[in-house]
Amino acid sequence: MIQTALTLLRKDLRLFARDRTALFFLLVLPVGLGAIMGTAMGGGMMGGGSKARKIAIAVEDLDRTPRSQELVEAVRSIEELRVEVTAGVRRLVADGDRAGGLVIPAGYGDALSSGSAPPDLVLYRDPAKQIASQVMVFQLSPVLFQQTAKGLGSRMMGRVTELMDLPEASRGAITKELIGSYLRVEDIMDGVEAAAAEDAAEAGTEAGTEAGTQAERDDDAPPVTSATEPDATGEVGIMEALPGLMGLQIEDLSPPRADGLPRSAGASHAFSAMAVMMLLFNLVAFAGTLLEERAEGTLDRLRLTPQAGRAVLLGKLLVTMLLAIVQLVVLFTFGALAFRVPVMEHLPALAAASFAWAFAASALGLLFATACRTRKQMEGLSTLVILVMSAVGGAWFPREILPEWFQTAGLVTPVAWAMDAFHGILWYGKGVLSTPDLGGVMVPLVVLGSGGAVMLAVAFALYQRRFESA
Amino acid sequence: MQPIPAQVRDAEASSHAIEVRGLQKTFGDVPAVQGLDLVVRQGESLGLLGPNGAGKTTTLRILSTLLRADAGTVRVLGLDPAEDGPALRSRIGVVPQDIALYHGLRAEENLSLFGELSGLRGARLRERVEWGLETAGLVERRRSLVSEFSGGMKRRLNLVAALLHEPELVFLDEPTAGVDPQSRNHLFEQVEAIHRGGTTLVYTTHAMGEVERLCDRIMIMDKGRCLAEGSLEVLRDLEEVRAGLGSGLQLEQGADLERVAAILREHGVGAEVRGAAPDLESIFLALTGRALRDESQEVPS
Repeated sequence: MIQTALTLLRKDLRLFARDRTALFFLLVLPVGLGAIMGTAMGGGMMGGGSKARKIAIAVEDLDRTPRSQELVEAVRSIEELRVEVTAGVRRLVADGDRAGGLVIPAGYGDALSSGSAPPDLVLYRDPAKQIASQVMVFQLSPVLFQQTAKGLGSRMMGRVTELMDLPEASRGAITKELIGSYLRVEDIMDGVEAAAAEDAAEAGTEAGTEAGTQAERDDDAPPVTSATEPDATGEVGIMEALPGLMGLQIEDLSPPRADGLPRSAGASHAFSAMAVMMLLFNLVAFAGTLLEERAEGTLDRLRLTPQAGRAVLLGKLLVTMLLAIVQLVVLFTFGALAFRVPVMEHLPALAAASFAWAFAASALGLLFATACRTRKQMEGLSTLVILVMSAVGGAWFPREILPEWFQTAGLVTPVAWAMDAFHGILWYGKGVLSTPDLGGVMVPLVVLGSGGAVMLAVAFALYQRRFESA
Repeated sequence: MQPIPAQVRDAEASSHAIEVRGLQKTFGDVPAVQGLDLVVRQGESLGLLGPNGAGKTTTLRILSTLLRADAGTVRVLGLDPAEDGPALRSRIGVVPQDIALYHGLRAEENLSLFGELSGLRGARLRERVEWGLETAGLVERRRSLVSEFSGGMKRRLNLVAALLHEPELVFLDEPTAGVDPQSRNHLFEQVEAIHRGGTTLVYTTHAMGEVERLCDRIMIMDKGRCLAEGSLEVLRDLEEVRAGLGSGLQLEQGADLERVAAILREHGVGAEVRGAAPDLESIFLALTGRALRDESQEVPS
């Protein structure tokens, strides 16, 4: 019995060793994906650690004084931030193009110079990029404190006594005492700075693992919130109060829904990701029937009819697109009913994005089918490519938490553009065309359409060379 | 030598369903067909024989527009398969070696699909699908999925799917491979019937008996070349064939066998009259009958 089992084991091992696709799935795919995930999550090969990812922040200087310039340069010097000084930062954040935007109001420099309390700095944040937002506040806090501390003493102390809910009569004495201790606060803030840097690094490392649970946290985000608003108990924690103490007003930009319901970044991302990734798997698998038909001889039989010709490939394109549309309709209908995903808000835009993605994904499927020799070869290759594209294209976790080069690499994948289109419509509330307040998804749609056309042209050329002239 | 007048040459050419000169095809470094010449006349039935790798299927694929030749001239029904693909495909039929049917479609759905792609529409399409189901003996199973069919049923459907548009020339690539004798016999009768109707046939098989029964002319190929070509009688008369055979006595039809045997015995030659020995297939069909056996492949779970 054991001898027989060993004989059968040898047989299976021989068969397995000669099956390249099985070997690929057993050995290459997990290692390859492990490398990608490890790099994405901040680990580096050979224990080197990867370069820290940078959070994109836009800074708008409405003050244009030496003091505001000084602040801009201080923000620029933060290694973890990629700073762009520009106008219209609120729009950039609202469009999802930047994780945050800092506005230095007019009068900021004069107020600091005169020793009076400066007007609040405004930090716009994208609630869909919560991890990036947290990292950003951690990084900005010490810099802002250093830049504004000298002129903020009295306001800080007033705010502290207010928060402590002290009797009006005793506030004067306590304020005096606190101001007396003010110099020690700078020492404390040095400690805060170090701790913040540590926390930021930790938050960055854990970003990927937190991404999965981000949906739940995002669900609680009100349409437009101030980060210093009291919680349900009416209390404000020190971390929430800190920006206010530094004269930083935080505004989370979440576009209001027409139906008044809260917008859920998590659900929007999840359904966008499913629409993108699952569609790719299904369409590539379906396009693979071309190879199956070739192996079974039915493709030759079709080619032998006077009317089939290249209509064979066109027929495959049409049916894969039709299946894609059906899948997207079912998915978004379920999302709308079960998770209140706002699919009706910009239906024409969603329809256009669905059509563009169905076209691009179908073309990609046909490209795989015409480039590969066998169905098994196609399954191995397409699985790897789809998973990698999904990872770097933002279907697994938001692109902004990936290393910078990953984000750039993601742009060469159709997945990134499809995610931009769907997430832009479902979370940011974008239409096809830009409005004065909000960008549109025209660019992703054009990229998907033209990319799909290129892939389709290559697929037709390959079909002619490898299927018709073989 | 006098040149052949153009009119005579054209008249000869018009009587040729297939005319091939110096055909060559190579796959990588492997030559599949090497300088093949072939002529098939209208209404003729040519048997193409040869061992595996002889170049039979490659030749059929070139003639039927599926493959481009590397060199040589090819005319099929007066057309160049490499240049006039769509026009030629509407006039030829190909019965492939594989069961080239959609197993997830029903029998009639398969026939409708291939009929429509062959240019049939409306009432004509319905009429030809009906003909196909009757010819294949599958009228009762018209709504069954092909995946539920036995090998013989699939082969029969595979045959008629190539004949729906009534082609003038049909290429049959081992159409009876792997089926039971009843289905093979049925298939063969259908092929004989379309040949009697004037359709030109090119038939490849490893079953020599089928070629003997069906084909007017035979070409034997090996390593991409033609070894011999002609009628069965011509091939039998070839010197290298005769050299390998024993001798025999041929009598005229209707001769009195008992008397001939008696005369031979009188002259000291041992002789007796026996009934002709049937081949194994004849024995099998005599015992099991000629009716089709259409049991599906479904296995009770």
